[in-house]
Parts: sequence; structure tokens; C-alpha cells
Amino acid sequence: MSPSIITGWLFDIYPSSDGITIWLIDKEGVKHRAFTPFVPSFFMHISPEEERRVAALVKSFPFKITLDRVMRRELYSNEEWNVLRINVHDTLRFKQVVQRLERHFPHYVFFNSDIQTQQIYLYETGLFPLAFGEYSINESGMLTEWQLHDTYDASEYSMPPLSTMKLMNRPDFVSPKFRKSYQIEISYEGETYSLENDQPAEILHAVNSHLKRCDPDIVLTEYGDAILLPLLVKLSAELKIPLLLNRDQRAGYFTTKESSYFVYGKIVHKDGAFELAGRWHLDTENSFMMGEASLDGVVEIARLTQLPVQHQSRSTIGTALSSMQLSWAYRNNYLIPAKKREPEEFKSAATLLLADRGGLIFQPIMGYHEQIGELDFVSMYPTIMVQHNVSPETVNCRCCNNEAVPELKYTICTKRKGIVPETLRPIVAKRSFYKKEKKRLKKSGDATWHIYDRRQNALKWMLVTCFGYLGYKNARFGKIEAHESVNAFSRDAILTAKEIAESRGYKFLHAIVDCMWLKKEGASEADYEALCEEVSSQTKIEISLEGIYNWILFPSSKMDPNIPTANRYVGFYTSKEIKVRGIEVRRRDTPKLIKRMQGEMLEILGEAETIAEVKTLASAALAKAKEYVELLRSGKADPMELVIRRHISQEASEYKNRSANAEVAKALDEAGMKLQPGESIEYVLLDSTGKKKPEKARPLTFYSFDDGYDIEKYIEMVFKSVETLLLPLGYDEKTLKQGFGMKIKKRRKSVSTPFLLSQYVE
Amino acid sequence: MGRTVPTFTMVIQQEMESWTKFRRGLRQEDQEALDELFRAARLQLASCAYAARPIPFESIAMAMLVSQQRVIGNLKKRVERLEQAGKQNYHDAA
Repeated sequence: MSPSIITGWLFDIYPSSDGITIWLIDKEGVKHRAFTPFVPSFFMHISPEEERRVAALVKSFPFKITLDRVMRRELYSNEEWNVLRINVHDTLRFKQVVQRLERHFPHYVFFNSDIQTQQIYLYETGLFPLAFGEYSINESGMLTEWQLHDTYDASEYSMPPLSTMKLMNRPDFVSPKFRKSYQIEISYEGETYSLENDQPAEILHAVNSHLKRCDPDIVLTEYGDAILLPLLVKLSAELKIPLLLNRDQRAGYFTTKESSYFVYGKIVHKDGAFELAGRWHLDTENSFMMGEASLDGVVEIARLTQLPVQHQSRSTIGTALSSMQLSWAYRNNYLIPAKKREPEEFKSAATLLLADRGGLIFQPIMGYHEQIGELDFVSMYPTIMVQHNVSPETVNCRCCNNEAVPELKYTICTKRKGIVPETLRPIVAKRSFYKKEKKRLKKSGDATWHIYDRRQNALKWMLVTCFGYLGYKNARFGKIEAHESVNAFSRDAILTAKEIAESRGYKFLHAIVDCMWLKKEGASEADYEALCEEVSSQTKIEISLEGIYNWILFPSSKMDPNIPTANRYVGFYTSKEIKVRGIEVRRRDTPKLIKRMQGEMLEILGEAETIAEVKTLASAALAKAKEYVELLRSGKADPMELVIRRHISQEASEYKNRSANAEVAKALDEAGMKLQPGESIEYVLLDSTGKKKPEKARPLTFYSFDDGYDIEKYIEMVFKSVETLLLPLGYDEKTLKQGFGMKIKKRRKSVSTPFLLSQYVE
Repeated sequence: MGRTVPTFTMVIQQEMESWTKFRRGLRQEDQEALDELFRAARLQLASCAYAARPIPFESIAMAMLVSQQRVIGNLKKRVERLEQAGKQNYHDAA
């Protein structure tokens, strides 16, 4: 091999026996493999006597480990510490050394020790996935130096030509997770090939020949992590037919275990990862970002966070954010504690009561409203953190005393910039740039606006969640006081906005944390813009007019028709664009048929420009609903449109009640489909009362068309979703049933006449 | 989710439950009035949460009073309007 300079992009990176392996793609799409020797290290804060114990211990390893003393900064105190650096001269065994030392020194803090070696390499060199530049490779294939024409936080960047191969299970009614056969579909360059299942060896040979022919950079799968790739690899091992999934045939696969975890009060299930060497395996079913923002989003985040693409696509946003913080810490020579050890400070009960609250939510005034303006604070929480320098090490620092946080009177450091605001700043700036570009390109009819939209959407998720990690107990740089401070600033901002709006004669209808709905007869867009300007300048957080509604509906609570609920509304802007939150048509657990019906009703009501017109159009919307009731009643509704999808919260054996959920989970369990909490089940209701038929519901997998469906229950769902829209106009279940010529069953509990509340709103 | 302090919706729910015996002793019409009062308190969630007073019942009671005062004000306006209209009718008839 002769020395060469490759102009191209850094494609893939992983540890290998010769250090770190790096794949480059040049402008012609040619792939180059290079390696670079690398010695990852971690740190311990330890006395000279104990250092001798470490020295003795590391001698027992069969590979080279060296020790030296260096100065590093500790984040919270900002002091320089003299720490012991442990250099591991084998990138594949870094973790092994850390674990062994941790066992021998259980009470000591380790720094920079639980980070993957390729990650450490990227932080130390400043390289990042898809970095464009000139890379020099010597005659033995070693990467010697590089000249980047690119930065990790660049807003405009180029992409290498990437070839994609889709590897799918053949579509079937049975979810691929529970299928045992080998029906595989491969598509690339516009062609699709079906592989039949008889001989597993044939399948492997066929997959290999396609991999050779296409030589994909990206292997795109559905359930590839959980099912497809593990299955192929297992077959390959059994039949001793090597599989060419990896471009680097020397390397193995990187796999992790599946897991279930809690997020926002909900159990979520995540399949284990299955990553390739020299290609990207992206699983659309096991990647939050692939689902939310597609490849453009994944690449955007990978560059910014320096997480290799495959790893990034499977990681949570928390991992992405902490990677940015880690990189910052490396750049600034700060130590990174392996496990969080900043305890919550003691506070009085009064402070706790004041501090432990979220953003403010004002209950909406129920019913239909016309000529409503919606104002949203732009990226409220991240902006607060950036503007007010809120960070775990700056809140209640040891050097200042200024009571900067409203209500709580916490102090915020004025002497140094915090790690959280410093890492958020480029995200906030990039997102605002992408949003502007998107608007500009969309206006001029340029189709590339989609790229900017997907990028800004990916960043949006980082900004939405960044705040949660300030108080999250597993976050490396989290501190509950920082989290509380952001909330306190946010409450102050929305109340200031309310006061300004009211002083200008607006009526305050509803507000949720960072957005609010206002009413003022005849207020124009310019009036709202002027209001926005004043609020922005007073709160230092940009607020913008989301739009003016022809009408908006805040429906009542499902539990009590006399109480409003936050977070459920539907409205039409003057542009006739719809905005829906929380009602049936938006909810994932609503059967398709009900969604379709409510959607069609809304289409009719959306033509109305005033409440009076809504009232006129209500009868047409009702006629739509009646069609659906009759369809359901006739028994001819398509059962596929009646499928209900739910997440199970526990394992089948743990269910104590006899709900439809429990029955379905048990039925699947008996059939040998082991479900983890957080996985979803799909079923059709047969008899929700459980009196007429032996089963309340049947899983979709076992459903056949002659099983029928629970007519009464689905009709009731129709009524519920009609009520959501029309109850404020006087259509309750009783009048609806009368209107549809149905018998009225007595309600078990009589609803008191809404005396007080109807008077309250005038 | 890792909260030490319950949300105010939960606080109102707890407060309501603590009045179960009191409620049982009320006539049915009065029971409905009591329910109505707690409903009224739930309209002022934001201010109750923001105030964060150590004794939440104070905020709940104040929220009930505020809602009642609003109702009284609105009823007053309506009575005045009706009286005006009544006088007008009387004059028209005369």
C-alpha cells in the first residue's frame, strides 16, 4: 500500500486489536480502511500510598498499562486536582481494566472511566462522524494526520454518497418479532428481491451475494436488532457459512441486551443493539431518531454529539446530550465522574414546597371560543438555561451570593460559564438557523427545505428533553437545584407574559408552561406581534405568535363533564390549518375507524369561521357520525380498522384483573409469545362486558374475520368522540342517542346540572 | 416521577377525600353543592400551585371563594340587566 491522501468523510469508527479502526469514504464513494494506534486512559483521585496498590495490581494484566500523574480540574469546585492517570495500551480491554480496578477500589471515585474507547478517541482528537477533510494514510494503512474542512457544529455541511440496502421481513399479519420463518425481502437500487424460506443455507448464500453486489453503506431493517440479524448470524454459525454483513471481516458484531425502562410514568421497551463494523445498521423500529427525524436527523445529531452513527441512532437523547457535555469537559480538561455523586443539598420544608414544582398550567375555559391568538415561547427551557447560565455547577456556587433565581433565591455564579448552557448554545443557535432556512426555502419552492426541517426537528428533541436531564438522577451533570431554578424562571416568565397581555386588554384563556391562548375582540396580527415584542424584551425569552384561530375548542374532562382539562384541544387557524392535541383523532390508542370519523367531522367543522357557523355545521357533522354508527351496527365495519393498540405495563402473569389488556397479554403468553413490559399488543374487542362471549378481546394475531366485534362498545366509542366535539353545543349522549333513534339506558350516576361553572364563564 | 411534593390536582383530591365523612352527613342537594365547590377550586390550579402555601386548604378555600365571588358578580350583572329590561318593558307598556 502506498501512502495516500484521501479527501472525504469519516464514516465509521470502532476499537480493534491495532487500536482504532476508521473507515473513510472519498468523493467517488470508494471506501478506505485505516487504523490508528490509541491509548485510552482514565483517572483516579488517589494518594501516593494507594497509588502503589494500583501499580501492583496493573502489573498482573498481560498487556501494557502505564501510570502517570497529571493535573485536571474538578467541575463543581473548579479546583485543580493532581490525579493518577491510568493508560491502557489495548483499546479492546479498557473496560476490563476499569472493572477490575473498581472491584479493588470500591470506595473511590473514577473519572472518565465509563466511556467507550472510540468515544474517548473522538473527544481527544476533535474528530466527529462524517467530518469532511483530507486524511493522510501511510504505507502500512495508518492514519497519520488530517486537515478538516468542517466543524462539528457547522450548519451547512456535505454528505458522502451512501448506498442503502433494505433488509426486511416479508410483510405479514404476524408481527416480525413473533415470526419464526425466514421470509426475507432485500431491496436496493430500485429493485426488490424476495428470498424464500425452505433452505436456511440458501437464504444465507442469497443474502451474501446481494451484500457483495450492492456493497451497502447502510443496512436498513425493521426489527433488525431484535430478530433479523441475530437470526441470520445464528444460522450462519450453525451452518458454518460466514456472513458478509460486516464490511470489516476481521471484526465481530457489537451487541447489547434488550431492556425495559421507565420514562415519564410509562414503561418503554428497547430491543438490544446489533451494530456492524464498516457499515451502518439502522433499525427503524429501534431508533427514536429514525422514527422522528429520519437519516438527516440522525446524521445531524451524530455530528454534533460526536457519537458514531449506529450508536447514536439507538441511544436516548440523554446520551446524546451528555456526549456533548463530555466532549466539552475533555476540551476544557475537566474530570468526568463515572457515576454521579453530587448529592441533593438539604433544604427546609418551605423551600422544598416552593422548589419542587414544574411549570404553571392554567386550566382552560371550557367550550368553543372564536378569534383566539396563541403565543409560544421559543425553546423556553433551553433559552432560560443559556440566558441565565443555569448549570449544576453554577447554581448555588461557592463564590457568589446574588439570589438570582425568583421565588427560591438561589444564587447563580457570575464568574464562569456553565457546562449545560455552553453545550446548549450551539443547539439553540443551529435550530434557529435551520428554522429560518426552512421557511426561506419553503417560500421559494425549493424542495431541500425538507432537509432543514428534519435537522431542526432532530434538534428540537434535544432541546425538549435537555431540561429533564438537569434533575435526572442518572444524568452525569444534573443537579436538582438547577432543575428547580429553570422551573422558577419559567413560572416567572409566563406570569409576566400574562400580566402584560392583561394590561393590554387581552383575556387570558389558557396557558401550558410555555404557551398561552388569548382573546381580544378584533385584535389583528400586528397587535399580537406588538404584544410579543414587549413580552420578549421583558422576559428575555423570545415569544412568537403561533397563529390566530378562527375557533378553538377546549373540551371537558372525560371523568367529569363540568371540569376542563389542560392539554386537550382542537382548533382551526385562520389559514384553515388544524391544530389538535390529546383528543381521540390524535391518540395512538384510538381505533382507526374512530379516528377517521372524528377526522371527517373536524373536516366539516373546520370550514366554520365563527362559532355561529360551527353550530350550523354541527348537524352535517352529526350526519357523518350517524353513517359510522350504522356501519358498525350492520356488522360490516372492517375489523382491521377496529384494532386497539396498547402498551402492556407488566408481564402477563403479573396481571391481577380481568381487563381486555390482561386477557390479551395472557393469551399471547400462552401461545409462547413472551412480552416484556412496554411492548405493544394489538387486539379487537369481542365482548367488553365479558358476559356473552368467553373472550373480551382477541389478539390480532389470532383474529379471524368471522370473530366479529363488540358492536355496542365500538358505538359507545363513537359517541364519546362525538361528545368531545359537540358536548359544548348541547349534544350529550342522551340527545345523541335520541337523534340516532336508539334506546336510552339509564346512567348509573346522575350528573348534576352545571350551575356554578356555566355561570362562572361569561 | 421522583416528586416529593404531590401535584395540586392530587392535593385537591386528597382534601376531598378527607371530607368524606362531612359529605356523608349532608343532604343530597348540599352534597352536590360541596362537589361544586371542589370543582371550582380545580379551576384555580395554577394559582394554588404557584402560591405553594404550607397549608394547602387555605389555597383551596380561597380558590372556592374567588370562584364564588365571580359567580356573584356575574349574577349581579344579570339581575341589573333584567331589572333594566323589566323597567323598559314597564315603561313601554305604560
